[in-house]
Amino acid sequence: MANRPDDALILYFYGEHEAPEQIERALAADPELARRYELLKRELAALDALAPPEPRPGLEGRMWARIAPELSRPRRVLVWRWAAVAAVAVIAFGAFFAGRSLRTTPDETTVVQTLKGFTLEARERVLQAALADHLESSQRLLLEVANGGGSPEDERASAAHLLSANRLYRRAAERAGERRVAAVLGELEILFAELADDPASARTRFPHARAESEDLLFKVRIARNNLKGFS
Amino acid sequence: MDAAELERVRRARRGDPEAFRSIVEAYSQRLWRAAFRILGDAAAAEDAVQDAFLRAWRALDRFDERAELSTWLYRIAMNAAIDHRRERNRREPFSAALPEDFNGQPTSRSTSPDPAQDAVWRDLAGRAQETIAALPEAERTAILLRHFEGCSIAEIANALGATENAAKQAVFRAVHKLRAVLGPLMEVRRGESA
Repeated sequence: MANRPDDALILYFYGEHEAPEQIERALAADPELARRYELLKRELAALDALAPPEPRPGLEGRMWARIAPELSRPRRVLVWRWAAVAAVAVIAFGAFFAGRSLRTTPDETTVVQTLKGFTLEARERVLQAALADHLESSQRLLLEVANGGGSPEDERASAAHLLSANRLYRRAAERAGERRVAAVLGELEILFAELADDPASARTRFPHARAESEDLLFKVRIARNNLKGFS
Repeated sequence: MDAAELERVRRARRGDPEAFRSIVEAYSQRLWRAAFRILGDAAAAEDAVQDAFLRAWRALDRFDERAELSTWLYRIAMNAAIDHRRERNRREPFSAALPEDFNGQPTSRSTSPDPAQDAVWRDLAGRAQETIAALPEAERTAILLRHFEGCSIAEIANALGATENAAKQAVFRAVHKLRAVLGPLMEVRRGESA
């Protein structure tokens, strides 16, 4: 069903009109319609300027070389997920105990034992939510630093808070052999440590921290996007 | 989807990397072109296609076997390219939006030996690229599948999981938005060259 005046012409242009002979007759009989059709053709032809060049030769081989290592890690994914769940749980338990003023955090072994009753699905849901939260919080801080609008005191406090969680994630990733994830988290850790150091020096290092955070922001977003694909 | 492809999908779903490899080899070029149209950069398009294949691998369990694998992958690739473009724009808000890898080479349309004319086409291509990238997902999918891949309205409807009328309306809306951007630009160019 074509509602706007040129909708029928669009269908005709793409060879989708149910009665093309009707359009042809109308175009022959109506110069104004024919003018509009010529304009439509010209404007849509501009899209053809988007014709891409050919990719570099060997695209398929390059693509497979980049993808294959990621596919052959089903077991590693589980190990990584399990390790990360433990890290997440340590953080969560730590926060819980800290909230009760016990000031203690259970070690990972305790947490792993505690979580053994979780189903695999439940663990994965916990991991996905917690990693996403951590990366989102990291992204927020990096944005603040990159934009330069936040107070150094607030940034220091946020960085200190994220730093401890980040260390656990990074160590879990390293143990699981997730080098790329560990590398991003490692970079985050350095920046968080710098920002958490003290507000005064954070101010003096601000241009440096800002440049780093812009670069890291990109990596964190990619990591978050990849995380969306986990489910 | 033919029987051989369906079998490849099922094997890949069971974790067979060789089956997935044949899918990667069959669709890399097509997905790269789709990503390039969004990103205008060869290396970035490869990154986006890599992301797309990984997303597809992880989401194979959710693939509806009644759908076409090609349109499913195409849609994933466009979304991956859009994500990359958003990241790039956030990082480089003032970077030129013109395609980076055209390297001054005329496209298929801009075969004129006149450099000014080439510049006009490049400008139009850049604006078209920006506009397509900014379209809502359904409209972007619809116009890219219709205009560049030659898919029928029925195939687009299948890719969108929508009715044929909804697919048609998505094409209409996309075309109207593109014309609203490109039309005045072409008018100005014509005025300048007159």
